[in-house]
Amino acid sequence: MIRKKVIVKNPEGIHARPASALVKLASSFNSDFYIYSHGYKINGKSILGVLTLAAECGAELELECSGEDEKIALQRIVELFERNFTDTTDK
Amino acid sequence: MHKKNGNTDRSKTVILNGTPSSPGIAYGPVFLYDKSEPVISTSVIASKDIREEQAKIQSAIRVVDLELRKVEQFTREDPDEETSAETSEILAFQREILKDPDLLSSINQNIRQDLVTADRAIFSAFRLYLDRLKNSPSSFFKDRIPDLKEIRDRLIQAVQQKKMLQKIPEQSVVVCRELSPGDIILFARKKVKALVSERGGLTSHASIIAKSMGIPFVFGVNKLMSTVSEGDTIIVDGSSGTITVHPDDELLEIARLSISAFEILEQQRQSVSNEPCQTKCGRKITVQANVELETELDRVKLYNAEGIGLLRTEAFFLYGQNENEQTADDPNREQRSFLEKAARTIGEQNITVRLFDVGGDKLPGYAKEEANPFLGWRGIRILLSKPALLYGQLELILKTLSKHPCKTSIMVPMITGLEEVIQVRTMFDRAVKKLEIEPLSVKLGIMIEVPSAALTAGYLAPYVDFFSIGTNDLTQYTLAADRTNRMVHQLYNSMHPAVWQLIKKTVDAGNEHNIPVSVCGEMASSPVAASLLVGLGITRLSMNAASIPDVKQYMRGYKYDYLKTLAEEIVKAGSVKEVDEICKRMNEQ
Repeated sequence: MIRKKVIVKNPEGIHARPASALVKLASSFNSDFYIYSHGYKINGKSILGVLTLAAECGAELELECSGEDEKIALQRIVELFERNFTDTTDK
Repeated sequence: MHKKNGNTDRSKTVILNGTPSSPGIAYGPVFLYDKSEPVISTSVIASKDIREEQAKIQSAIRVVDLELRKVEQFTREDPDEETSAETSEILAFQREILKDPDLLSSINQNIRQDLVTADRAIFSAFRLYLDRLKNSPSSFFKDRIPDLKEIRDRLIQAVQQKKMLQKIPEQSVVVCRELSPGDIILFARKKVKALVSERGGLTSHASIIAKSMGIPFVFGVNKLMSTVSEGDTIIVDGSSGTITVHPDDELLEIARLSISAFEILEQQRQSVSNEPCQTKCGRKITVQANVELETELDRVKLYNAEGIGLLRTEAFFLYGQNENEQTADDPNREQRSFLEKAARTIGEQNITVRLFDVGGDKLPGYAKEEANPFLGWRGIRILLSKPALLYGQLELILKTLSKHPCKTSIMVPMITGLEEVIQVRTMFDRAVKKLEIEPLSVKLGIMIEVPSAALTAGYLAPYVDFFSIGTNDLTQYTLAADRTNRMVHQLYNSMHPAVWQLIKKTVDAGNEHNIPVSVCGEMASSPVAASLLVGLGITRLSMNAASIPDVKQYMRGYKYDYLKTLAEEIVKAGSVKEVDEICKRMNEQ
């Protein structure tokens, strides 16, 4: 199990589209993925969970991945936060 | 005309105005459709019924997902409507909710632990999320509340559908605060006369569906809900946007006259579809309908389609089911009943059923995000790696339809090459033999939608009984352009000469081996493209039933030889611009 803190940087926060992107990415890994924020723990593969975090710009979240592919999963998810939830261009 | 005072004391005629959204005039008694608070059952279920209630959830999720997908499709197919990025985002978001693993397990848990009915289980599961959003400090998150409520209410409706439908009287005019596209599909089944809503919302999509179902629809009517009550007589003019509440006899008479005028126009349109589809010189073309929803079956008859050229079955694919929550006793019941209804609609005509055409994300327990899903694990690629699933569907279709007088064809999606064709053929023949069906009475064909299949069509033809060209995927794979991607959708153009070369190649292979070649993509429903395809040698077209009159009407204006000359020019053209000029010449003729 590994953890990392991130800060939401896009101006609108994790609204519908970023939440979809995050859930889709997280669901592509076998590892469990949880987000901790203000004492809540939510399943990062649940779109309703992610949305109802209501994470605005500047919010600090702690991400947790556990499972066989936890390293790559966490890395990819952190990257998604860093590029403000825009689409991948990993061509 | 006599004027009576009968309906005037309490009820003075009131005229309201809204935005006309789907043409036609109708009148009838008001049915108030109150969506604000769905009525939830309070009964407790017996523990032996837990599985049955949980099965209702699965089927509701599937129905709602299908409706949302249908809305996306209708939106794309409507040339007048600019898909706003925002609404497609909402649709994508709502479909994502249907896949939420926490939501599903919380609903199932509610049923199991509290022994509540499916509708209450859904309602409670959503309450937690809605409360959190309500308490959110940011308006941005509060704004998502209506989207969430809408999907919740759609799920509840889907569960309660039978009960709900019984309550709506036929021939009534549905009046409501807000109308979702899914609602319209629901009301179409009940043959309501017209639809009126006070607000907008997702209405651009709703109106596309109302139009294609032929139901007059007016939205954005101020003070609607405070003016009308249940049972009031109301006239709806979907062409002008005028709503007349408590019309006097004179106004009703005018409405009747307008309705008959409108009906005459519509009959003229339909009478075109009564005539055979042919060119000016009498070359006959078989015109069939594409069908995905049960409600679309009515239109197959209405527009005189000569059978169903594409019956989609994706809706019945085991939807993201957890393997340990296999609930339904007979997982094939719904698919079988859909096939039977389709068979009863078309009588002795042909029905072409396409095998499951889905991406890997629909498989239980499959969680790999593919970098390029359209180039990934989908269609026949999935089916061949799950032989039991493939064989099961083949057998189900053959067995169900063999009890009906229809001609049965089965069509395989996403074929890329010979090996796949041979494998499916072997399995198909085995099923036919096992079921003791006369081998020549059932046909197996393939979709030509990948360039490699078009280019090697001559090698595939000996193993199949027909080709059906899926022009949407063929275009996207040939031009490497995803039409849902706003950055490149201008590259997506079925009139590109490269696409036409591949169609020509397929038609030639079909002719050489004496098997029919049809087109079932959107190109078939565009009068210009359909006519030019006929010029290229296509003899069967399958389209949205509502497009049939326009295609027939247009095609009658041209001789086959002329269409053939133009089609040959398109195949030889060097650019889309050249093709555009050829089409322009055609329209000026």
